[in-house]
Amino acid sequence: VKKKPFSMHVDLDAFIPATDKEKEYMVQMRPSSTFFKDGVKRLLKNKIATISFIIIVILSLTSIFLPMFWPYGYDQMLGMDSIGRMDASYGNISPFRYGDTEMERILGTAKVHQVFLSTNKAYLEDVVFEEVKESAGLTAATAALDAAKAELKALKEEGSGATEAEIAFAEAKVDVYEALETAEKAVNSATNAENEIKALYDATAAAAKKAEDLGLKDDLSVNVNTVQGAISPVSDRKAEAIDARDKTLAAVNAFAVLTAESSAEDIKAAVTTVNAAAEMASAATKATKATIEEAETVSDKARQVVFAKEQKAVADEILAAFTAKNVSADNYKALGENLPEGAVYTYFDGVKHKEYELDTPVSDWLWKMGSFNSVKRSAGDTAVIETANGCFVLCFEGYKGGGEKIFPHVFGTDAHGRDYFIRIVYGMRVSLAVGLFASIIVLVIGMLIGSISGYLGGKVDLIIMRIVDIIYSLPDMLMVILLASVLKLVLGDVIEGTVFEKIGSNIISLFIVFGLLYWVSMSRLIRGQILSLREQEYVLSAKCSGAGSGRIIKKHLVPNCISVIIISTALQIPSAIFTESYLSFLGLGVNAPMPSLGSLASDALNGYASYPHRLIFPAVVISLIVLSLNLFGDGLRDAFDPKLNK
Amino acid sequence: MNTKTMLYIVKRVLLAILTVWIVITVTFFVMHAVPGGPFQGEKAITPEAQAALEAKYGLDKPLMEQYTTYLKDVVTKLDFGPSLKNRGREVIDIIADGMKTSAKLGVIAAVSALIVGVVLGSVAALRRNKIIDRVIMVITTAFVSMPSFIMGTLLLLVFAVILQWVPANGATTGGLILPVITLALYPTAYITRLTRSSMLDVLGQDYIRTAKAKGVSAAKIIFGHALKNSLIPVITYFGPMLAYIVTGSLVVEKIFAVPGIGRSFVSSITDRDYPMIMGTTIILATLIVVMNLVGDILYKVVDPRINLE
Repeated sequence: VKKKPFSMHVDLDAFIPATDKEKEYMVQMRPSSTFFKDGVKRLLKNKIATISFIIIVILSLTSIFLPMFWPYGYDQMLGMDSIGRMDASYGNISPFRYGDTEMERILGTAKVHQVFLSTNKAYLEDVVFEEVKESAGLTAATAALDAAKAELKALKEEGSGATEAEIAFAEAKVDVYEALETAEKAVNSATNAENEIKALYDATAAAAKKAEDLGLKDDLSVNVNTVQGAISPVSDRKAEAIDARDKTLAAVNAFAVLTAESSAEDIKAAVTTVNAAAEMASAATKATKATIEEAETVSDKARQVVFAKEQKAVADEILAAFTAKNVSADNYKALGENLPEGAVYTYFDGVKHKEYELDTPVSDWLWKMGSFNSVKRSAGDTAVIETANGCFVLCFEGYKGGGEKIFPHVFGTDAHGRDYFIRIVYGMRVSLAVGLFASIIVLVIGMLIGSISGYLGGKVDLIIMRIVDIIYSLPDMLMVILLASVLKLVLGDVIEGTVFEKIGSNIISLFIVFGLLYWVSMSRLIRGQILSLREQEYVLSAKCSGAGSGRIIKKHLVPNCISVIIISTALQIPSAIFTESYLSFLGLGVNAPMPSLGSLASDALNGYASYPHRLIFPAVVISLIVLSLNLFGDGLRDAFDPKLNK
Repeated sequence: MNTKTMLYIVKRVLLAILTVWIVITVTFFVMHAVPGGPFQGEKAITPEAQAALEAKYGLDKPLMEQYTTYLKDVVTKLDFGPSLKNRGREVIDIIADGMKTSAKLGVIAAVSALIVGVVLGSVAALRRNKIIDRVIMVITTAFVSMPSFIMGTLLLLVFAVILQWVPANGATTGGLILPVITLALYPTAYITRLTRSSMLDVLGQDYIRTAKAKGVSAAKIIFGHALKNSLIPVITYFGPMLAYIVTGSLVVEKIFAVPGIGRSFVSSITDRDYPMIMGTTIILATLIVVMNLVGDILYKVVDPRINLE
C-alpha cells in the first residue's frame, strides 16, 4: 500500500523493533576512540599532571622566547666598557635595584638635596606679648547692650501695650550700645597692637644683639629700625582709637538723657553721632594692622637669620661627624637632641617633592636615611646648604628626578654584574635542552640495542644482555664523574674550531656519558616489551596473513611500545636535569659563561649568606622544573599504561 | 637454601667481582687518556725533573705494565700509590682517614632514613587518603624533586646562618646534624613512598583479611603480618640508597666542609690528583657494588617466592 505523504495516521512501521543487523550498525556508529585519544582524555582528567604540563610549557616557552625581548644578555656584564670595568656598583645588586650609572641615568645628573633638617619659618616661635582680651569698658558696654536687647524684646511681645514710639526708642538704644561695643573692641585691638609691636621690637633688638655677638655679616639694625619706626604710628593710632572711644561714650551719655517721649529727630541725631564716633575708633585700629604685619615680616627675617645661624652650628657638627665617619649611635643621639622637631621634606631643585612625617626623633631618622632607597646616597655626600629663604639645612646629595626609564634587574645581578633573571632564563633553557637531548640520546641508543636484542634473540640477545647487566651494576654517578672530568680535557682539543665548540666540551662529554651509561635501562625496557609483544596472538595472525618483518614492526610492535617509550623518556628528562645540575655543582657542568641552573646555584654558594636570593631563585626554578616533569611523567604513565594501575 | 639460590648467589658474586675489575680497568685507562699527564698545570719544571718524577711514580713504563702493577697492588695490598697533591701521603691513608667521618655520616643518614621512612610510610598507608597521608605524600614528592646540593645549601642558609641553631662547619660538634638531614631527606622520602605502596598492597592480601576475620587485634595485624611483608621491597632499595648516599655525600661534604672522603674526592677532581681520583672511585664503587650484592642476596633469601631469573 502506498503511503500518503501527509497522512495524520500513525505509521505502524516506525514501531517495529530494530533487527540485529540494525543494532550492530548502531553500535559501530558510536564515535570510536583510539588508544591515544583515550590516553589524552585520561591525562586531562588528572589535574596535577595537567597543571604540571602547563607549567612545563610556560617555562619552556619562556626560556625560548623571553630572551628575545629582554634588554640584557646572559653574559653581558653591566657597567662594562671596552676599556674595562667602569662601574663596580653592579655586582650583587638586590632584586629591583640599580647600579650607580643606571641610577644617574634614571635621575639625571643635576644635584638635588634631600632635606631632613630644615630651619624653615615654621620653626620660629611667635613673639609673645601681653594680650588684652576683655577691658572694663568693653565688659560694661556688652552688659548695657544685652540689657537694651532684653528691653526691646519685652516691648515687642504681644500684650505689653507698648506704643510704637517706645519700640523705636528701644531699637535706637540697641544701635547705640552696639556702636559703643565696637568702639571698645577697637580700643582693645589697638592696645594689643601696641603691645605686639613693642614685643616685636624687643625680639628684633635681641636678635640683632645676638647677631652681633655671633659675628654675622648681616646688618640687622635696619630691621630693628624698621620695627622701631613702626612703634610710634601704632601708638598714635591707639591714641586716636581711645579718643574716638571717649567721644562715643560722650555721645552715649547724651543719648541716655533722652526718653521715649523725645522727638524722633533728636533720637536719630544722637544715634548718628554715636555711630560716627565708633567708626572713627574702628578705622584707627584697622590702620595699625598693616603696620604690624609689615613689622612682623621684618622682625621675622632678622630673627630667622640668627636662628639659621644657630642651626647651622648644629648642622656643621653633624656634618663634621659624617665626614670623619665616626658617627656612632650614641653620637647621633646626642647630636639629634639639639635638632628641632618638625617635618622632613625632599627638595628637587627647590621644589618640595615629598613630605615625610617625622614621627621619630631626628636622631632616629638619620639612621633610617641610611637605608633610604629612592635616591642614591653614601655617607660622604652630606652637605649643609643655604636655601632661598636664607635658612640653612643639612641634607643628603642626590640626583635630579624624572630621567630615563631603565628596565629593572628583576632578580638583581650576580657577582660579575650580570642580570640574574636572564641568566636564570638561559639556565632554564640549557637545563631543559640538556635534559631533552640526553633523553633523546638515551632513547635512540636504548631503542636500537633493545629492539635488536629483543627481536633477534638467541646469542646476540645473550651477549647484549650480559653487557647490559655489567653496565647496570656499575655505580653510574661515580662513572659519570670520572668520565666527565676526563672527557672535558680530552674533548677540549678535539672539538676546537668546530660547531661543537659553541656548545662546550662539558655538555658534549655529558651527552657522551649519558649515551655510554644510561641506555641500559631503556634497552632492557624495550627488549622486554618486544619479547612479550612478539608472542602476542595478533603478531602470529599477522605473520600467518603473510606480513613481513617490516610491517609487523611498523604496524604492531612500535605502536604498542610507543607509550612505554614516551613515558620513560619523559621520566628520563628530570633525572638528566638532576645529573647535569649535580655535575655543574662539582664544576663538571656547562662551560662558563653559559649558565645552567646547577651552575648558578653552585656559584651562589660563594656569599650565600649575604645574597641568599642568588641561591633561592635557581633552587626554586630547578625544583619546580624537576617536580613538574616528574608529576607529568607520572600522569603520563597512569594515562597511557593503564596496566600499571592498581 | 636450595641449589638454585646457591647458584644465583655464586653468579651474583662473580658478576660483582667482574664489575669491580671493570671499574678498576676503566678508571685506570680513562685516567691515562688525559692529555699532558698528571704533572700538567704545575709550576714549570725542567724535562729532567719531569723524567725523574715519572720514573719515581713508574709513569715511564709501558702502559700495560703499569696496569698490571697497579691491579696487583690494588688487589693484594689495597695500595693505590701516593697522592700527587698531598706529598708523602698514601692514597689509602687519606681514604681511611676520611672514611671514619664519611661512614659515620652515611650510616646515621641511612639508619634514620630507614626508621623515619618506614614509620611515615606505614602511617600514610594506614591513614590512606586522610589529611596526614596527603601531607606526607606532598612533602615527600617535594623532597624527591629537590637536588641534594640545593637542599643542603638552603638548610645551611636557614638553620646555620639565619637562625644559628647549629654550627655551619661539619667538622665541629653538632656539625653533622645538617649533613645527615640533607643526606637522609631523599632516601626518607623514597622509602616512605615505597613503604606506603607496598603496605597498601599487603593490606589488601587475603591473609590480612583472614587475620581480621579471626579477630586478631589491629596492632598484631600491623606488626605481625603487614609490616614484615611490606618491608621486602624496601630491601631492594638498600643498594640504590647506599649509592645515593655515597654520591650525595660528595656534595654534602663539600657544602658543610665535612672532613670526609667525599670532600677529598671533589678536591682531587679539581686538583687533578689522579691516584686519588682512581683510589676513591674504586673504593666507593666497590662499596656500592658489594652493598647492591648484599641487598640482592638478602632479597632472595628473605622472600624465596621471588624468581630472579
